[in-house]
Amino acid sequence: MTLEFSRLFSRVLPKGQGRGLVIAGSAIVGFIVFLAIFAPFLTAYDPTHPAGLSMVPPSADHPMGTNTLGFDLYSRMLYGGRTILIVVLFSTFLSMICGMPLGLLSGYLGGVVDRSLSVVMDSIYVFPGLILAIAMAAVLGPGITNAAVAIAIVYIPTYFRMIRGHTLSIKEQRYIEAVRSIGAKTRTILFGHILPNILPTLIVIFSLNVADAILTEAGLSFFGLSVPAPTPDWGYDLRAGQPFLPSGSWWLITFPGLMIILLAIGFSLLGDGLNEMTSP
Amino acid sequence: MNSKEVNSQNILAIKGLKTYYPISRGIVKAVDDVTLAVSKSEFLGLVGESGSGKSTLGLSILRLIPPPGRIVEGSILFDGSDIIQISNAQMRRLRGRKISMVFQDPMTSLDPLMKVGDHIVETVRWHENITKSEAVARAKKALDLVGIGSERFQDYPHQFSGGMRQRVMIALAICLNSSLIIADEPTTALDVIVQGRVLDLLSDLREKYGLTLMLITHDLAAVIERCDNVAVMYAGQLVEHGTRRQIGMDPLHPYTQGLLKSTPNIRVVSSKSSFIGGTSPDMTNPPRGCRFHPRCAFAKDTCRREVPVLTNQNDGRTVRCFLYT
Amino acid sequence: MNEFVKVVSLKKYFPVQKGALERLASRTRDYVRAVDGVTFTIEKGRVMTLAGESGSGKTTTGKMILRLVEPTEGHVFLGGTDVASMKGETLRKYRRRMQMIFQDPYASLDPRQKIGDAVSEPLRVHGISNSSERRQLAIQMLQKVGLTPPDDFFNLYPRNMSGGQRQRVAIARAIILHPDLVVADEPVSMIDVSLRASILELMLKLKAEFDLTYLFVTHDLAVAKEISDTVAIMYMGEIVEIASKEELYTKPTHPYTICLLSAVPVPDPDNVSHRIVPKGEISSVVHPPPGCRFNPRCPFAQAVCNEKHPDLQEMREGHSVACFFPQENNGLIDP
Repeated sequence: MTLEFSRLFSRVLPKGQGRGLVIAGSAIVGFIVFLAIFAPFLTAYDPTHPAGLSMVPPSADHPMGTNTLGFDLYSRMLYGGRTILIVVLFSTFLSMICGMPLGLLSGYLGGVVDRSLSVVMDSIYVFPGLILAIAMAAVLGPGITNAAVAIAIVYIPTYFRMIRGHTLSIKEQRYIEAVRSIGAKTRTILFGHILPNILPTLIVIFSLNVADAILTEAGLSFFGLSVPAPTPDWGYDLRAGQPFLPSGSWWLITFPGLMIILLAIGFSLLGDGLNEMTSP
Repeated sequence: MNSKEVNSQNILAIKGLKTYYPISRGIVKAVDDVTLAVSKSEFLGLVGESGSGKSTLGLSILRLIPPPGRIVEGSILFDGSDIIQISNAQMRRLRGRKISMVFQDPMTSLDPLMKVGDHIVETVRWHENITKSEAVARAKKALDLVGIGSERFQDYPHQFSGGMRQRVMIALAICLNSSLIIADEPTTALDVIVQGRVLDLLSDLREKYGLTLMLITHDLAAVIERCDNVAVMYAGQLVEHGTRRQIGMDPLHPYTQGLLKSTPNIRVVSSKSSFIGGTSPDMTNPPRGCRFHPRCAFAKDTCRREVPVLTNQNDGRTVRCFLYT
Repeated sequence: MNEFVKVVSLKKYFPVQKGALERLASRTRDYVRAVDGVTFTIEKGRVMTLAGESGSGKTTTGKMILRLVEPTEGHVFLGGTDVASMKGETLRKYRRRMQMIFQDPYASLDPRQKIGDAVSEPLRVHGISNSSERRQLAIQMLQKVGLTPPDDFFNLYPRNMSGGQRQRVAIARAIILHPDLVVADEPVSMIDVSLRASILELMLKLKAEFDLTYLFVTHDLAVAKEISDTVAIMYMGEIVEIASKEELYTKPTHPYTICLLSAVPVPDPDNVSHRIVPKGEISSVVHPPPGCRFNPRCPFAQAVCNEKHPDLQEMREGHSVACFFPQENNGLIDP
């Protein structure tokens, strides 16, 4: 049994530079996902209702203390994981399914299609991510879906550019010329040959993008433009706790901050590791 | 051992050389026990196909094996001293100066942002303590000698064709007064007429300056035409080493015979070349016993079990084959 | 004469990229005349080779015939139909009748595709039969090209195979549609010498079996001798000599052909090298010399060669040369 497993392990994750990073990254992300999923079993408190006295420092009852409204911070961290993961994964996925086909088409067809799409994408790309997200969120209004859409828009150009670049280089490969000489239609070439060769890059971009999106989401919710209170949200808690730092209530911002950083690092390591593994 | 090895006229004496590369699925034994001697002013042709280890041998002599590959065993005596044992700094002084290498793709050996003349001058001055004007004069003379012309001193690499860039590399080797030039597939990327000219140039320079030349190539015909001696490599080992007449008229090793039969002769119109059955061996796991045995028409039981050693023949050549022991 | 493939005055001119200032300064556009009026025919079931050095235009000619490169001018008749003027869906469907074998066995196969799928892809693309039948046809083809057991090879990826094996896959893929014409671009130049003859033998065997017609493109005159029926020597975009294999190798008459043949190394230690070397380097392709393009380098050139352009003239039955002073009886070769 263990022999089979270790053989499978070595095939999926061959020994190489990226392996350690992928393992570390997956461990961190896996851990937070676990916490988020099993939150109800890990804490008795409801993160949206007062659980005790307010401003209680970390103690046996409240391992991470309570906030200004008396919500238990530990449960808010656990449930907050759900919020951020949902928003971020959904929005990155949205970015991918919008940006990727456009990048493919643009790179393969070239000409006027490529030029016009590139102009549009570049003008979006030019904006610093958070600012654009804030602007989008302000226009769309608060709410979890709107936040996801706002973030999605920010990252569409990233996918577009990377996929387009990759398509451009793969397009020139000899095997694409060979398939064209067989008489394959453009559709077959794009989805049967170029896309499979882009897939590894896509996975890497996805992972690194999520890391970035986490910080953007945290930023959005920091400004109250993401999910409405009292839905547990790390960015929101960060903002809420910030004024109390000088007075010594360190736990209000430390834990949300730590969670954001940890999740972002986790995805970053994963993305970097995958990048090393898929590079020739 | 080959009687040539003891010859004090040997500029290069390789003994028991092993160069291995570790890769994910094993160790590539690229050069696996090669013993070879080259005398002064000799023109040696080292012939082999993919996986033979011929390029690795060339790189080993210059200690340019990229890590994690490394020379695992053996000695390389150049002018008497073992260059495997000397320090990196000493090797750097030797490399390019006494021993030069001309590579297959000269575009990557030449700095595209540097005029070729300046490149030569800078390299020479790194190795020797001479004035700039002296170096420039030497460089111009060398460019003339190789047929490029000193007037092209100020040109950039991209302004030259492939054949001419090769000649720039040869000019560099001359400037440095290299006594040994190793050319690794110098003409593979070139057209046949240009190939002829580059090889002619090397031959001429050898005549004029007494250079020692090692030509590493897969082109057996070119080697038989021009070289003094021919060494044939297969799967990391030397399988036959003799004069060009011996190899060209009467090859002993079945692989050499097969290779010769596979080399077309354009002068005999009705001739047809043949091929050697099977595929080249997996260098992480070469066949047991004689490495050529799976493809050999004469393979016996011994060949499958034991590794033949290089033995001297009456006519002075060496062969690694049980047919001749 | 059975003119199965007929190429007429095929040309390919590439515009030279110029900077904005240059473009303002000069009135005319400059062109690289990569292929400048190539005409030849191939009989059905025969092998024609376009031989020449780099820059001769041989590969571009081959690709134009398959419409992988768009001709600037000229016609390509395949069994009477002009391929050069086809467009869109008609062209795409017609492609099944003309296929290519590429030079690089490592680059011409999709690394993420099983080779069995690569071989059956042409069938899929042209909507031939169903999935399981296609698989069967692919397996049969793998058998024919010597990749046995074919069921095992079907599931391999290119990275698990040697160069020689990959080239066999490329051949299988090119032949599976039973095309009328196969263009092979240097199919053995990246294969070990000791294996080349086996690939060439395979190609000839398949030609007989499937009644194929080949256009071979190569710089290697020794390889051309092994496989051709007819050889055309190209220089700077033009055919300078065209003849049957026997004629060309025993009685080469164009000075360039003679230089080329004399430069090929011979595995014979007694071969006294009488290399005839052309002077200088290849001329500018943007502004070729007036008259004969080879004249600045030709050891036999005379004044007229720089003034008038020699056209391809039939010297003997089936042997044409483009030269004012064809060099006969030079005794280079033993038949």
